[in-house]
Amino acid sequence: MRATRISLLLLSSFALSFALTSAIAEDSVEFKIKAGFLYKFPQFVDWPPEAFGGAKAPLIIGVLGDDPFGDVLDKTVRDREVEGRKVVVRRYKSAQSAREAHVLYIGLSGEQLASSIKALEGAPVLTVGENSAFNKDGGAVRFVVRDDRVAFNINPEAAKRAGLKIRAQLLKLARIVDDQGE
Amino acid sequence: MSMKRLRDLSIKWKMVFTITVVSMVALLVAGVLLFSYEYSAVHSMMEHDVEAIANLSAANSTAALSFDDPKAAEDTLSAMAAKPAIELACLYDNEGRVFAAYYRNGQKEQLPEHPGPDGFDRNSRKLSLFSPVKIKSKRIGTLYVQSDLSQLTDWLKAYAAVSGGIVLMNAALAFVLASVLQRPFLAPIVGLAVTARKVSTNKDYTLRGEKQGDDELGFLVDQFNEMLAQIQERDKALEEARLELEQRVEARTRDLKEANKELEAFSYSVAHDLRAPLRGIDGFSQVMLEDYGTQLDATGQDYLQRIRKATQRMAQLLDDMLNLSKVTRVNITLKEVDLADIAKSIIEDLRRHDAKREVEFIVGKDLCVKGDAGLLRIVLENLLGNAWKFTGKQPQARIELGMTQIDGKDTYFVRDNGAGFDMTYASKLFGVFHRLHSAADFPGTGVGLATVQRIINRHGGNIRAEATVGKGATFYFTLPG
Repeated sequence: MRATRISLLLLSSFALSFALTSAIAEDSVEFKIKAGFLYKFPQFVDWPPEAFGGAKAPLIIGVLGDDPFGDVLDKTVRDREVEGRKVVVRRYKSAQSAREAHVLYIGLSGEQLASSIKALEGAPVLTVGENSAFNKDGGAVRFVVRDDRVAFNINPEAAKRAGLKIRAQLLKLARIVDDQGE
Repeated sequence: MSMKRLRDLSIKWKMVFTITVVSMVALLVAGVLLFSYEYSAVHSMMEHDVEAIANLSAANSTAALSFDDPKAAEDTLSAMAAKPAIELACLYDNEGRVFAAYYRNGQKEQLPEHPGPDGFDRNSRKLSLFSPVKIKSKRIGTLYVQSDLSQLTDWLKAYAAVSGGIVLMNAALAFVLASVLQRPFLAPIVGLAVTARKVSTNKDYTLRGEKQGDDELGFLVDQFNEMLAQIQERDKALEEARLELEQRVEARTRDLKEANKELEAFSYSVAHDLRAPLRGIDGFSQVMLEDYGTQLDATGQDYLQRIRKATQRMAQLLDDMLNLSKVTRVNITLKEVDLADIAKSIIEDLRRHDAKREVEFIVGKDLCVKGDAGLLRIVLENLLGNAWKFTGKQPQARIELGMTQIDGKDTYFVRDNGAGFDMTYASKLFGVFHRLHSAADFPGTGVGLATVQRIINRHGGNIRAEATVGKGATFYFTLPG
């Protein structure tokens, strides 16, 4: 009986590991695209001038919480520039410190997510996340998968509160949602 | 219309035609220049339109291209439908792959497989533009827009129709205006031409052209009238002169006829009256010689013989003179006469008269003429007699009568190989009493050729002679009949 259970466990773990590897392979493509999006969003978003320390100040793409990108994000933005600014990637432990970022990927969920977004209030940060409650919690851009493609929902109100202007072109590509995430 | 017919056109139509053609050509040239300007303007306007649309679409496609959203890009491109001229549009990514496309009316058309160089494709028969898609200065793809030229062709058609209409209307207007406005220019000329034609057909130099203004044409009319007046005057003078001349000629002719008549009557009566005493002298000389010859010595008889010979010669002279005057007075009766027959009988007479001589006669054929038989006999008698006479010292005498063509006219001739004469005196040959030889060498009165000439002249013909001294003479004469 016990042996059966162990063997079953083994079998299931084997199957699981199989499923996991394929999931990781899919994930890496998906996150490559998402990393590209993170780098491309700034091209269609206007920050207030005070968001940058100076004309040569870098554009900061930040990651808060779980980092699903690994080195993919770093590779994507390496040697890239947006409107003459160098693009850098920074990882933050707290929302408070992440207020300096321009684009912030938040890998959190639940209470942590809500409090982090609250802590970023008033900072010119374009928040990006994947949690189903992300828009509802006040996040601006949420990655979704539609028709097997990486797409995004945008809450223009949230962006507006952060003092950001999202260009119509970008809005056209997104599903527009309100504070209820609808 | 041929050049010849154009030349023969009346001046009015020439002028109308010229003005119409000139205005049409001018308008056509203006039209062509305007057309080429307008064409390039419309073309560049269309290019501008396509460029503007392409730029707008390119700018609106950046996000779709960036976020790899072909659907959104197609949405953007479908805005091209607002411009019906645009046939197709297509977005290429940076790798040159087709990303999204728009087809007018949904019909799929051939897309360029790869984007070409930026700008208008000048090889295309349509309006094709490759336009870069950029975010700021960074290129992310290429937009291709292809527009048909229906706008241009529509415009071309409208332009051609309107300008064709304008040219035709202008031609009609020019024709009408030219027809009306030519009048002040051409009416005087046409009037002048009409007057000139009347003058030349009716020979009426009293007509005058009508002057309508003091311009060059007025001057022309004045000069024309002046010329007519001069002609009229000259005609009058000429007519007067002619009348006077006629009267004078008439008077002279009358005088001359009278004088001639008197002269002829005189010479006839002289010749006639002289014959009677001459016959007396000859008759009594003969009687004296016959009845009293024995009482005279040889010298006396010789004198009497000389008296007789002289009187006989004088009688011959008188006969000839009477003959000459007769020739001028008798009426000519024209008949078919064969000169050969007459000649033969004359030659027979001559031979009988002088049987000792050997003379070769050659008489040609076709010598039938129209003339007076009696007078022509006198002519041949004289000419053949002369030939006989002047060949007297020629051992192999030859006399020829024949006909030849000289200057296309039937010309008769009498030729001999006798003494001939010096051509220097040819002009005197036919004068009365002119003799080129001494009576001792060749006897004669000097009246014969004058008579001959008169007869030939009365027949409307001419006579002339050619000769070489010692080689013979030829007399040529014509008889028009």
